[in-house]
Amino acid sequence: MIRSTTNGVLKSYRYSLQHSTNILNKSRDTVLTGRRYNSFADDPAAVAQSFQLRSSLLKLDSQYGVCESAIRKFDVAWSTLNTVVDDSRKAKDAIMKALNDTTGTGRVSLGKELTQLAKSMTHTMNTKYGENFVFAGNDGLNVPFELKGNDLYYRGINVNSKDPKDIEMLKNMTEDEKKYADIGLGLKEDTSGNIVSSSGYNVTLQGTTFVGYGLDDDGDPKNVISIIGRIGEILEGCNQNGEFKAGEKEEFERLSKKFEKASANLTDQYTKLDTQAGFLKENKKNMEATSFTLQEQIMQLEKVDPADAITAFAWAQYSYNAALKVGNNILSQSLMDYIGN
Amino acid sequence: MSIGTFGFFTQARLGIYAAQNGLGVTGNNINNINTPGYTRQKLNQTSFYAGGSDKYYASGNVQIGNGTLCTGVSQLRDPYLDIRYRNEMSKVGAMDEKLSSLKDIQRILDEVGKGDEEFGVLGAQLDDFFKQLQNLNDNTGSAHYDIQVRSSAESLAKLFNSYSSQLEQVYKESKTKFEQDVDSVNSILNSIRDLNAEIRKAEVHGNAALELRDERNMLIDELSSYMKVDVTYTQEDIGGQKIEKLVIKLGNANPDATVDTDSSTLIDGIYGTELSVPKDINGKDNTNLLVALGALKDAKGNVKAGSTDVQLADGDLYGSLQSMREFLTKEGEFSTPEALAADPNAATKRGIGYYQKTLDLLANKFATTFNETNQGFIRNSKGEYVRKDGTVINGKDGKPVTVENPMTDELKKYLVDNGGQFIGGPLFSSKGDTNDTTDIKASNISISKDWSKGPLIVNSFVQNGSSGIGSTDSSNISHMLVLMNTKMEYMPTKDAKEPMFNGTFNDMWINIGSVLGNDMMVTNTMLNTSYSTSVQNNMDRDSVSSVDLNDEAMNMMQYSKSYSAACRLMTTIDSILDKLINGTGVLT
Repeated sequence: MIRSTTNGVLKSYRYSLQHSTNILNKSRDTVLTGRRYNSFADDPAAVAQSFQLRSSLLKLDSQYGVCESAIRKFDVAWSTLNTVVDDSRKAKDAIMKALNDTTGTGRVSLGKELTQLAKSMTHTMNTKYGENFVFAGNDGLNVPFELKGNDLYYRGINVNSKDPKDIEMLKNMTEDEKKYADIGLGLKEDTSGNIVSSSGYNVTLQGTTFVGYGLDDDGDPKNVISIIGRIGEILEGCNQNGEFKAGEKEEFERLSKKFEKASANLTDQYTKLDTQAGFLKENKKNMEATSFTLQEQIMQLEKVDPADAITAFAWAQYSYNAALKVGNNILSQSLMDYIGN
Repeated sequence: MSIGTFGFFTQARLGIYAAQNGLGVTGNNINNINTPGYTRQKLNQTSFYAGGSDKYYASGNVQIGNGTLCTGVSQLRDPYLDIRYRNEMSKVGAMDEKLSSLKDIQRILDEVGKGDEEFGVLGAQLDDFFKQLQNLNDNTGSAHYDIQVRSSAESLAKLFNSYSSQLEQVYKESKTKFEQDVDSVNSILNSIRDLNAEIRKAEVHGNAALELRDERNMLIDELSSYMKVDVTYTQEDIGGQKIEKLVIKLGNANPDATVDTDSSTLIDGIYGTELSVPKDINGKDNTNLLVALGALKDAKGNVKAGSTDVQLADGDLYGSLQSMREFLTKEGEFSTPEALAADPNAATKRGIGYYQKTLDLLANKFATTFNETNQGFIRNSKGEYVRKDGTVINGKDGKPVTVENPMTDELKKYLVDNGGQFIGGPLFSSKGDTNDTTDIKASNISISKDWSKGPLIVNSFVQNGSSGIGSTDSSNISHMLVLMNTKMEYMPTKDAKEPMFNGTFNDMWINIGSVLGNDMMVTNTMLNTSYSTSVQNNMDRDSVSSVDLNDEAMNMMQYSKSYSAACRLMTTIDSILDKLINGTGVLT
């Protein structure tokens, strides 16, 4: 600039002062809000990343809720099965007594006890968690187990049916039917639209998984409740001398052995359920850790270091004050002030 | 010619006049130091010499000047600095208008720091929808949770409606501003034209009309922020007298070198044009809001010979007017082939239309995805479509019809005719009182009529044997959960070959904010740069044209002293003439 004029200097000062004021306001906002940015325009990449993290955090929050719900359901299932396993042990004791106690009254009363245990186990397996029957698979709104006479029905199908179609359906239910919960394992589908098993958690509990279904090669039921019920029925049918009806002694002894297997399966599945619940609890802990990490990342992205922010503000304030001081003197004197003196 | 005896009085008088005029000009400068647009003035003086030849040549005759003459008052102004300043101002105008317009969108779509615990609003609602689906998945079969999902979806739809409505309001307000800007430009052009006529008239009568020029310069400065202009001063011959003629043309802003309408004349002396936005055949504004220039006319409406209307091309303007035009018409990736033909850079210029269409695209994708997911035919666990009794429906080729078969209208009819069980229905519609799914966009997305009546979400399409679908089977809800995290392609137009974006619903929403933020950040940087340069240019202009108190104080002292000196000269002349007249020959 060749010539600095009064107005030129004023304009330059005004521009610089505006600039200084803007910086001061911005640094003051930063201190007041504690945020690195207040709009996408301030730092688009960081804001986008922050919103992604926040979205992940919200999703994680809902997944955490699902995981907790699954844990509660499995807890209910576990305590229910605990009762069933207890009943099974009681049945085992009764069967053992029946094998050894040859008195008529003893076998009949043991039979009654076993019949009652079978009914009790059926009722227990119909436990509800919330609105849903815990062991009803994917038909949780309907009572899963029903004893019709000596036949046990699961979801309307006789578990001891000789019809292959019924058995096929029970097999499908027990082995293929799944209900996946999104517990933060990255729920996704394969190309056929089915959930990839490792990405979700199967929370469906099929009663038949625990008590068994179908008939074995001898035509005897595989499920523990039917076995107990049938043994009870056989024992109740003993005469006053403790003698079995014709042919039933062999069936009793055969079923007693098969009871062991069915009972062992029940215990195995019960133990497995405990393992599953353990995984869910571990997953819940992981989610808590992930949530903490996400929140920390969000804080790091969004929040300013107070020391930095306050230092920047103090410096802006200092610069602004200096600018004001300069402004106060900028037009204080000119040659005009000396003319005539 | 030698000066006569009393000629020296004239010489002294001219000196007094000159000093007095100089003080007058100085006073005027000091008076106008704060007058916007004032250009400092200076007194033009020349040494006065009365020429001619004496009747008789005398070798001893000394030729003395007769004093000084004031030939006029002129302005101190550098046209080159004006050009630099105005060029920069067109950039400032362009960026400032663009940034201001983008801020209008930012107020609506930028959710930074908004919402519950600063989680955003629409983005957080998408996450809430996901959460409600999770709850439904966990509690399948309960109508209560379906209603929760519906409530969340309803809130989401209303947010889309609200944002769309606010964007539409911004469009209307911006359109009004654009029309006002066109009027303002016309007002400036008319004022410049009229000032030209007044300056012309003053010049004819020997008046430099400096104040009128200042006024005109201010108007040209103002015009330059609306549009890039090229200002030239030429000479006009009017009956032997040459006077100045101002010509303003558009500033050759179109990058297409073959276009010449971008240097059309706006002002030609006493003639000026007016801008207009021609209507289409339906009487509505043309969709691109293309601007036309009327024929050059004088204040009385007489058309300049040979002047005609000019239809400007898409990129002929640059400045705030063009920024507003582009904000109203440019649609970025949604640009039509016609728009791309008119402006090769149209795909990267994102006005309000881009944000409206992006929001529409997101709303439509969301609605369409869930509508498609919530209706279909019941199948078995192998994916084969089944009848109520569980039997598989075979196709015409005798093989089971499966979900792998593309669901055409023909297949739908075949399945219906063969006992297929169609369930579900659209969750979203374009009108809340219908199930109409055509042309769903942000402005009209709503919960479908059927869903508003009661639970409608299909838990599962999978039937186990003849026992129907499990009451808590939630495979379809799981599918919906997956969809919320699935990357999808967003095609800007039906014919587009590539998607404009690939991501989840939430990614797409964040992307809208990112695009806006990036555009604003770049524009802000450019505005700061241009503004800083314009301030520098303005100060450079001030260094030449602005009044400075030190300068004027110096002038004041200078003219004061010269005034005193001229007076002293007169006293001296008076003294010597007194001696000559009254003292000559007098003996003391």
